[in-house]
Amino acid sequence: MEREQSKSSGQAGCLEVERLAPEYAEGLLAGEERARVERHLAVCAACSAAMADMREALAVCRSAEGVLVPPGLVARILEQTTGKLSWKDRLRLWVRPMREPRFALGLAMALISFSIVLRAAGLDPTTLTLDDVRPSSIYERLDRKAHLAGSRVVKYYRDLRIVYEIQTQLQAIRESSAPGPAARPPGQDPKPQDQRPSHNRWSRPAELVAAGGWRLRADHRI
Amino acid sequence: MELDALLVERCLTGDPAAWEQLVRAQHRRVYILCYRFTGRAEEAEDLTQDVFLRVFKTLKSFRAEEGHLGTWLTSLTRNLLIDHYRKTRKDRVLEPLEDQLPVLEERRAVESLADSLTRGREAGELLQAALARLSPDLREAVILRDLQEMEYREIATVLNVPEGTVKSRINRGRTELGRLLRQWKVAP
Repeated sequence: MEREQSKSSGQAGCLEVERLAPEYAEGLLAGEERARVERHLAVCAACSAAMADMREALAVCRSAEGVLVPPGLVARILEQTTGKLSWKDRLRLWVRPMREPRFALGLAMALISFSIVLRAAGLDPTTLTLDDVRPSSIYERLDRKAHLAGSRVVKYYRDLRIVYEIQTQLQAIRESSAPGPAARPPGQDPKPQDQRPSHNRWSRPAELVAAGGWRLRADHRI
Repeated sequence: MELDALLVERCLTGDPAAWEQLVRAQHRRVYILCYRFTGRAEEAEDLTQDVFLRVFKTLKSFRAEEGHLGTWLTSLTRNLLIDHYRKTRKDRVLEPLEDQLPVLEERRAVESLADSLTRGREAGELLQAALARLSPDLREAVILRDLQEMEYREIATVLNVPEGTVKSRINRGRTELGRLLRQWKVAP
């Protein structure tokens, strides 16, 4: 908005109108000041538009419904400051911080974390009983899970070793029972497919198992 | 001012009747200011209780020669509101602005909002929504002048700024408020 200089003819400039605008909008200006403002508003579109907005705001403020004070507010203030609080007001004071979004978010994160820990401990949050949350029960479950996990890891790596050794033994047996190797050019390594373990039935599974010190089941699995 | 000083003196001696008289006389002013600033009844109620709790603890700091009890209370309320606004600013950022506006799609177009908004409740709702869009310094200036009907000199004391600054903020606040209210005019 361009700021007009105050003219010598007695018409107010934009700056002066801005200074007098609050009282003018409220109808508190009178006499020469009021006339000066009105002469300026008649020729300045920007100030005129701003004044229209101000009057609209004032009109809405004055027509707005009055605020209703909650019943019992005075009693609660008096109880909080000088007297004993009723159990309802004590509960309200205790619950009030929980209504903030930050608290709700923190509570939700805590519940999710708690649920994850319960699942890890082998508990189902939906069928939780009081007996399940005893420290000894939780310790037993965690101990059992840890041992189970450890056993699985150990078994996995032992199985790997068994498989590798069986494959090695099979290869050795195959090589020892097979005819002499086909003539190959010197320096040429055997083709990779020659070294692949055979997926056919073992020729002597019982001997192999006995050599490795394992017990063979009826289905030939270890 | 003498009446204020006498009442405060009685309160400071521990007279429960005097305290109740003070609370009954001032609670409405404090609650309306809190409600107009926050726009939420529950929040306004909690803040009003906080204000009087603070008044109860700091009443001895009131000086009758420096102004009216109402002005002192308004100043204390305003400080609490600004602190509350700063604490809850991050939470408000998460709320979309559209949630702060009343449902206006069903309203009909009118030539002048002031003419059409004859029902006080509609004007109140629109006013609260528009106030929420103003910055805190403009909002408090408009509330104190146009809704609490305080004098410019008193507002300057409450806000601790010169009277010229008060008028400037009221100008800008009213202009922005009126512009928002006009923008929310809906075509039929």
